[in-house]
Amino acid sequence: MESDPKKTVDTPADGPAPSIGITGAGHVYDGHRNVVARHWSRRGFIETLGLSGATLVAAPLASQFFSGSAIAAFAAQDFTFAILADSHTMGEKNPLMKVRLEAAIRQINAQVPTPDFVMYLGDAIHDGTREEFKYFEEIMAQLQPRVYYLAGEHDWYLDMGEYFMRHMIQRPQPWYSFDHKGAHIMALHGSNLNDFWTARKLTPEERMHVAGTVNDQSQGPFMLGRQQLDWMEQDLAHVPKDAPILVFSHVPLYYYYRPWNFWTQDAEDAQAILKPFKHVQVFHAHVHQLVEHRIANIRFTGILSTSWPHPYPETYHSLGLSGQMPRSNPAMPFDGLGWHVGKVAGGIPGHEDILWTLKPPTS
Amino acid sequence: MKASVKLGLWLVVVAAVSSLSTAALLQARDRSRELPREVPKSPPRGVHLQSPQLPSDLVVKTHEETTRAIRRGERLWSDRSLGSNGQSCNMCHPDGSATHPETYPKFKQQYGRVVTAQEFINWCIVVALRGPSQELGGEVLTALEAYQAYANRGQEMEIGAAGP
Repeated sequence: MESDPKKTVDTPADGPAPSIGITGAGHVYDGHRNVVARHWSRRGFIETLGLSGATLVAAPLASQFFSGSAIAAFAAQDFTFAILADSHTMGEKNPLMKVRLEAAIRQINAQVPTPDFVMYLGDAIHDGTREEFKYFEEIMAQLQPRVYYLAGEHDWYLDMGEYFMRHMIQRPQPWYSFDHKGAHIMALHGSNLNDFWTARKLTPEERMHVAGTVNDQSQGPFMLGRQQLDWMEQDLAHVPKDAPILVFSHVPLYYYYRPWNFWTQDAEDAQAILKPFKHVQVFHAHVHQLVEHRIANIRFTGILSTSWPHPYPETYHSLGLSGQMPRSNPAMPFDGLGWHVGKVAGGIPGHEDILWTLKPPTS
Repeated sequence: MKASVKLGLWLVVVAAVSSLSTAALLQARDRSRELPREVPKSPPRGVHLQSPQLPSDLVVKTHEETTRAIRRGERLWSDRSLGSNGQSCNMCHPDGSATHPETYPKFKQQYGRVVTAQEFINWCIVVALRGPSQELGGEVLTALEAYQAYANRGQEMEIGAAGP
């Protein structure tokens, strides 16, 4: 893994992506989260940048996609992005996975307006071999917008993330953040497991098999870990409290269903760090189902996979979750699958679900 | 032979046989505790309690063989070589979920007729896992059916409840 001393954890691989945002609290920050000036007035900021008042268009006050009050016109710019995950490609022996992923890619490329970027939430491949990764990368090369990756357990536990870090993450740590048009985006490494393999003397393949079996509890619970939680706190220290925060993780950042490891052990620590912020939207994968939850100020959305759907566990009802998709017909190759369009509009995160059960992709 | 001797012999034989069967019963009870066994608190309506006349070795053998089939089914459930595309039952149906064996036999649109649970497991092996069709009533499908039923134990019988 190359480590460039000049690069910080929040610098994208291809160079800094500056974004300037003015928020209701009057803070101005650029893509590296340096607070440029704490008490600049809006007028002072406009003059310095040489912008005219007309370019700062008031954001729409309300939108039918979002509930809750819209924030004032000084908010971040509106933008959209695509969210994709869990393609579990297995190479040549499973051509249907490729068909499904390519259908999503075609739809993303055809999306109007073009998404600013694509977030890929992990489990790109199933067994973690080099051949599987190359097969996946060849398919993903067809995607037009730029892709940001984070790791799922399948991407990680054969070679402990070596290939994924070098080819997909390309940063010193598997977690990172960046700003985009006034929204703060965090990509977390949620599929982190304590060492369950050394004492049992497992081979890499056995380790991958245990970590990759959804109902194998001997893998232990997923967790973010102290180092990552500390990084989250530092990272959020200079972000304005009413900026839209988009958090991406492979695993749900709440206690959904432990027998299938739909779980993050230190979820409540992460939720506490996110608590002071007004607009927090967490997108997670791993559950292979559409599912929505809300804890205090944080909304959680479980996203669809492009490989296979999972049934809803019993805690779906006891936790009062929502967003249930209709039951899949196993004869239909696209049932229970899909992807999502993520949005920030009026400073509020939201999303649109492209659920193929309701509308299968055309060839 | 004198009647009293005959009686005495009889008593000895009866005592021997009864002590043997008592020993066998005791042994049977111990062995059955080792096997996984779900005993409902109150038996469902309409089910006959096991007659005390049922031979104990039959009870034991039933437990042993059924458990063996269930365990085999559990292994096959996660077997990625049942099919050719690298998938296993456990991926879409972890812990036998979303299989609803309590609703079979029923009409399945994939077949266009009423089928048994084994037939539909076979359908999944052929279509979803892209594997060879298995023999109905053979060991593999019976084991898979056994695991599926065990994983869904306690569900109320609800034959014909519609599914996709």
